[in-house]
Amino acid sequence: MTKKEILKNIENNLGDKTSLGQGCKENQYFLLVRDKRDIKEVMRYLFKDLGARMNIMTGVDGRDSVEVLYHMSWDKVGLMVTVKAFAEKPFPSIDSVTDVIIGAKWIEREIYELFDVKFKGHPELIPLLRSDTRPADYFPFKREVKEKHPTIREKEKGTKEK
Amino acid sequence: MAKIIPTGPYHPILEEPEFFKFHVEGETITRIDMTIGYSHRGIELLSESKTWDQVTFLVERICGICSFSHPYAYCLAVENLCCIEVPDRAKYIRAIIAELERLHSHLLWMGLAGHFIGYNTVFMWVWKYREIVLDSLEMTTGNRNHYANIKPGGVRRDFEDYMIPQLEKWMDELEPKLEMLVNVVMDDPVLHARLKGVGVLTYQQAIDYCATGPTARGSGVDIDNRRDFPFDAYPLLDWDVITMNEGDVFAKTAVRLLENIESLKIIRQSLKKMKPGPIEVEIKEVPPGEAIGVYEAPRGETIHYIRSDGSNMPIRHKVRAPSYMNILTNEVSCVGAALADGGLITAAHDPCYSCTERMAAVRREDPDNVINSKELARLSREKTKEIAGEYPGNDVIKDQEGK
Repeated sequence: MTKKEILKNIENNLGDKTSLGQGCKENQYFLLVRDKRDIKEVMRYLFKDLGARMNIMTGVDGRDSVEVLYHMSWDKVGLMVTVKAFAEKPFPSIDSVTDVIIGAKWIEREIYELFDVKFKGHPELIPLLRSDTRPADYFPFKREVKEKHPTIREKEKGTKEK
Repeated sequence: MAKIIPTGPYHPILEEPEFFKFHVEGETITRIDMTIGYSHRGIELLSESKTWDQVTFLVERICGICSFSHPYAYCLAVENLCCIEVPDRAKYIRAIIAELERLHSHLLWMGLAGHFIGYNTVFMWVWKYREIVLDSLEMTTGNRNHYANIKPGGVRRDFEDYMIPQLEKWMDELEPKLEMLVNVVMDDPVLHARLKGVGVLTYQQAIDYCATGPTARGSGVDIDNRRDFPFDAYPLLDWDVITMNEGDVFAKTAVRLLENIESLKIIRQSLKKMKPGPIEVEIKEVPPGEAIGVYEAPRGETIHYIRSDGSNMPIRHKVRAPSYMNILTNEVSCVGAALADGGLITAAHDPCYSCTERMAAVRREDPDNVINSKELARLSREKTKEIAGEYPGNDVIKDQEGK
């Protein structure tokens, strides 16, 4: 399959659920999933049917929701598509994709640990890296936690601004 | 009946912190549970409080061995976001240093692999040859590791005129030695007997677990970001991607050895093609937006995702090192193997725990409560006692405490 065919397939088959846009480089695209409930179906189509590889997932904290990004690539044609879905606050949750992509196991745990996003259907959703002694409700990348416990740098920055 | 063999908090043969629980039936491993998180340092969060230029030095410290790969991927991400292309001379300098780093990483692992299986001759020879590579890095960048030579928009240090013939001379010295090494490993019956058929990762498993780098290429997955997502000098040079189909420890070793020869090819061509000229373009501001930088580190694909709001710092910086995906493949490659092979299999994809655990919670609830070294030693002793208590019969530590 060529790059054009893959993009055409995505538009034809996922057009009603998603919208596709180009990034700042010609081989990097973004695919916005309108409803987070479709995420598993979208990922299954990209991974199983179109043969993509999942590079990694990223969480980005916003004011009203946590953005969950799935970086997918087609190495043979040199195409990279970042799938974006939004998990709304105050209790962000999204379907886990681990039954489609086993490699997503650890990164879903990491995003849960950082942003408190509950991945529904994950076989073992426990923090990946942090020590057991941390309180269970401590999510360091959450905007609310950042404001409550600023780092020394952030404090310095805040005083300078004032 | 299944029994659990706890292994850790240090890797049985690599000096890296992790904790494995091998579930065994007799001698055979039936399952492996992995716990990581012993060497995280908060790089991702720290990065959000550094300027675009400072982040280069920060990500360089994620890993001592991939200290060019992480800044390279980061710089590619920033350059993608700013839509700029670096000058030709900088491209070739980057390629030379990146490939020297690949040589040093592969040779380091090769030496350790020899040491793991009790083949110390390989260990000593390979590390002797690695010195040539480290000398080359020291001459060109000023450091044996942590080169601090790359920046968004180009490189920091130019090659002096005397460096090119000297590098060519050193590469001429290195080539017959690497070829000899390939021949020795490929023909050695002892290595074949020890490594072939051990810790097999099949093609489908490599795909499902999203493995990268020599781990995936050893299982027949033909991926290499230098070719698939062409950047800088790589599309201008002639080199091959090495793949093998067996998926065992031997295949992973052979891929690395043959890649060394390809790296030499890249360095030689870059030295020939390099012309005098500028080594950087100035980046005045980073526009708002998001971008990804992908680079093929010695261990596999390194990805950096950055998001900018137009200020002088990133608002999100995500780092994914290759070991993050490769360590997870232990779940399948260890199953069915003998317990004695467990250590070797879990080391075969050259795991780097520092890379894997780059992120962390660095916020302290109580900023005044800083732990000093004495306090840390006391906590560590307490923890050791606690662990000793968990495994009955382990009285050694308790005895030592008594004395």
